[in-house]
Amino acid sequence: MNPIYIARAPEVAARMLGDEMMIMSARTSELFSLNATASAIWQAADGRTPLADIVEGTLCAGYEVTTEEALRDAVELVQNLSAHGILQISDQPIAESTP
Amino acid sequence: MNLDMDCRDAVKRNLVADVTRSYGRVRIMAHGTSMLPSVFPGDILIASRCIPADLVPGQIVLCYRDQQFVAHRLVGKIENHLVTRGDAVCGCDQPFREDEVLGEVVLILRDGYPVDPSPAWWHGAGRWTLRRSRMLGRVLVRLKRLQSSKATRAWRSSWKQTQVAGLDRL
Repeated sequence: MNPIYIARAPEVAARMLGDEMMIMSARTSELFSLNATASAIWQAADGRTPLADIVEGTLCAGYEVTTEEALRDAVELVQNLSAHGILQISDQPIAESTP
Repeated sequence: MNLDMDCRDAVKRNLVADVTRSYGRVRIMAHGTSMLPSVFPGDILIASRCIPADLVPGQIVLCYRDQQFVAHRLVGKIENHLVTRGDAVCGCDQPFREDEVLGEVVLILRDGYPVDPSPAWWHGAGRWTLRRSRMLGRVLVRLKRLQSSKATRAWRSSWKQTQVAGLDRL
């Protein structure tokens, strides 16, 4: 399986509330709320770290879950976030963009 | 008082302000009846970032103060402050500082259809009457609700929360 790189979409604003991340898309003005697990992935989405490494470093360390299972759930989540336009996915590292 | 909900609402409002200031455009749903007959509760206001000095009386401006949004019509300027008033309200708001102005309302979406936010000729008469009769405001809102079709209600409810794994769309 090719590595997956993820980066936060450029036109979003985000604020943390407890362990929950609230995100607003400037493109659609939709508001989203990420739970603790999804927030951890979102915060680690720097465009350079492969998703597998993020999962191993942030999720597997904190939850009793196998790497394969966590990665499968994480892929589903990032595809979901990407479909809503708040996360970018690529099989190449993603360059940082400025608003 | 539900502090958790209050915090969430405060964060949501701050995000709306962040997005408008950073990216220049936001869509926000109107509540209240202070802008009848120009804006009905449930209308979607599309606001665009602007230079406060360029605003002219008659435009609807979106302001943010004390964690509250106000979209009222500009009626004048005093030094560096903007004086606004709701179309259906008798008195003016406390003047807004220029840094409290998020943008001007460039379009209103009512039941999915665009409406021009500039004052129409009949608004003058409507405003005059609404300022003198709260009952008329309530009747107008009730009539508007009756007029809204099921499809409209579905369109509006799409703005409300749906849940996806790990992700809540609010």
